[in-house]
Amino acid sequence: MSTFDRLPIAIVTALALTLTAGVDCGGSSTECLRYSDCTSGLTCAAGKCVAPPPQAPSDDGSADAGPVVPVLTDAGISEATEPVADGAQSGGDAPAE
Amino acid sequence: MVLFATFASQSWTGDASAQQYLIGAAAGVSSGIEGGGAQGGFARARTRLRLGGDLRIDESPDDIFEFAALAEIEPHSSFGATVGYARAAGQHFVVDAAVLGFFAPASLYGVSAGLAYRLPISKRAAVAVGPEGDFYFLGTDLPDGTVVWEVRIQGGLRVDL
Repeated sequence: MSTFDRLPIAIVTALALTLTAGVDCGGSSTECLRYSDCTSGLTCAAGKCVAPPPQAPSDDGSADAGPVVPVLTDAGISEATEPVADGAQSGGDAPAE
Repeated sequence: MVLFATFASQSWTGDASAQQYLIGAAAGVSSGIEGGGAQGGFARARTRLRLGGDLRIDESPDDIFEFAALAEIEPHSSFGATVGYARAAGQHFVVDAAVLGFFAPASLYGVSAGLAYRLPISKRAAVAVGPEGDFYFLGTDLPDGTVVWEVRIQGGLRVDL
């Protein structure tokens, strides 16, 4: 096979490589267009696979679950669903009687 | 008079013939580029397999109803279906418009339009090659406010059954 015989094959190969060189092969684990582009445990936000945001406060009263919501009893006394010390730190605007 | 009688008999025969459905089967693969996300760039689209069929009526063979099952196989997999209308444009070209949706692992819905060139390789079979454009705008697989577009090159085999 002469050089001229191989030329068309070389041109086609070069074109294919050129066309695909500038394209992200889709294997990037950090970029996404759809949620299913991300691996399990990650979510797609602003075109990137990122860890999902923290979840809403849970009912078990964990200390770092979010701001504490004060609950008013019938007597008008403010009680917090969290320990007082945590409530004072994270929710300092709790009404004081 | 003879000419008129001949024409009339042919017309009568044509009117009397029953409609006949023409069925075809097709299989193909496609890939291309996709974009539309927040980054504004584009990436290689998922490789998609398509297995389906088409239905025509002999009285109007240029109007084609198409349906197919879709499977995206890499780099991520999903499964869906498409239905659409195609119109033969000449002897070798077919244009089509369709709605398509993916149902697993998450939902994704959109529309597509394409052009196919059919190169006959036998009396019943043809190789079909052509571009396709897809737009996805609904579904739980799409982040809020995102519309994904895809430009694909598809190729496959179609057979008249």
